[in-house]
Amino acid sequence: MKKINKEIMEKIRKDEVKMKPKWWFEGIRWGLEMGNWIIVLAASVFLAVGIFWIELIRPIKALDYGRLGLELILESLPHVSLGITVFLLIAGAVIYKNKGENYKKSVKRIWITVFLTVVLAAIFLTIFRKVFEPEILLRII
Amino acid sequence: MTDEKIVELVRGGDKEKYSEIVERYEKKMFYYIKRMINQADEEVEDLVQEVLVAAYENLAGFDTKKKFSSWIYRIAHNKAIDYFKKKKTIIDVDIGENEEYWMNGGKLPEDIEIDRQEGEELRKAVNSLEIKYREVIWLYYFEDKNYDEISDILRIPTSNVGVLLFRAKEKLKKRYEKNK
Repeated sequence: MKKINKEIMEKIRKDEVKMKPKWWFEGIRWGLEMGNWIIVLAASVFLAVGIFWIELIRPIKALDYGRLGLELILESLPHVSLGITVFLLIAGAVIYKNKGENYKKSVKRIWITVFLTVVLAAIFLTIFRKVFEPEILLRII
Repeated sequence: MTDEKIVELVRGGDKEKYSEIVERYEKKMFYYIKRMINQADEEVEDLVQEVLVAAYENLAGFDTKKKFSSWIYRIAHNKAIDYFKKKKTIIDVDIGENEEYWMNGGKLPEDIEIDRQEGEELRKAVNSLEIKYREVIWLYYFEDKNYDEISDILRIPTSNVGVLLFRAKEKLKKRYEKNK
């Protein structure tokens, strides 16, 4: 075992083995943090599209029209948006789990946290759009 | 001096202090990795060196508010898993100088009585477990790690550690009694 100690210390003294700088780890940490927030924001934007579709099509009322209503729902359903939302939710959960000490949390708790954050952000975006849209339009005009 | 204090000194520029970390952990890493990968001493020593070198390289990323031992065990775990994935052969090795670790089993379950004659059966039973069970048994009963530390090493929820340990004990008990 003494041989291992000697070999390692030799490598350290000769600078064959170097300590990575602190900024490297800070960079990774911030990268994960930013990545997580970007994914959550992106997921909420795509989910907001889904909410907008629900407002526009009103699928529950559309079903009153029977088969025609169902066809309308299926044709207009934003498959891509919803698919991307699901993908981003999964990516967000994976990144969130690897941040800090989140691995200690149960899978259920991680999913609930990510899902609720995305849903609340999507609702906020929807309200924001409704509240500020007229003003933005007026400014553009 | 605590491990965390030594780490701070090494990060501050006193590289020679790292030899104390190596001295403290080389034997522990050796036995831990040996249990994980079940290979000959030379292969294990190579991996131990890789672990201690990786620990030095990543020292700036260690949070001194946490336990250094959990952190270095995590590195050892990752290296062993990588090795295990590359070479899936398992070689049965003699207890040899590892005997002390088997005989001083620490907090073994009460219903598995251990004496020198039964050490061989216990070793076989532990070695026959899947790696995820073998690891948690080793960390809890032989390395004296608590649930929180095992959670940090394996990066799993603390609640899962209890479940894993329970299942590992059940399997170990069955295999040990089968081998007796």
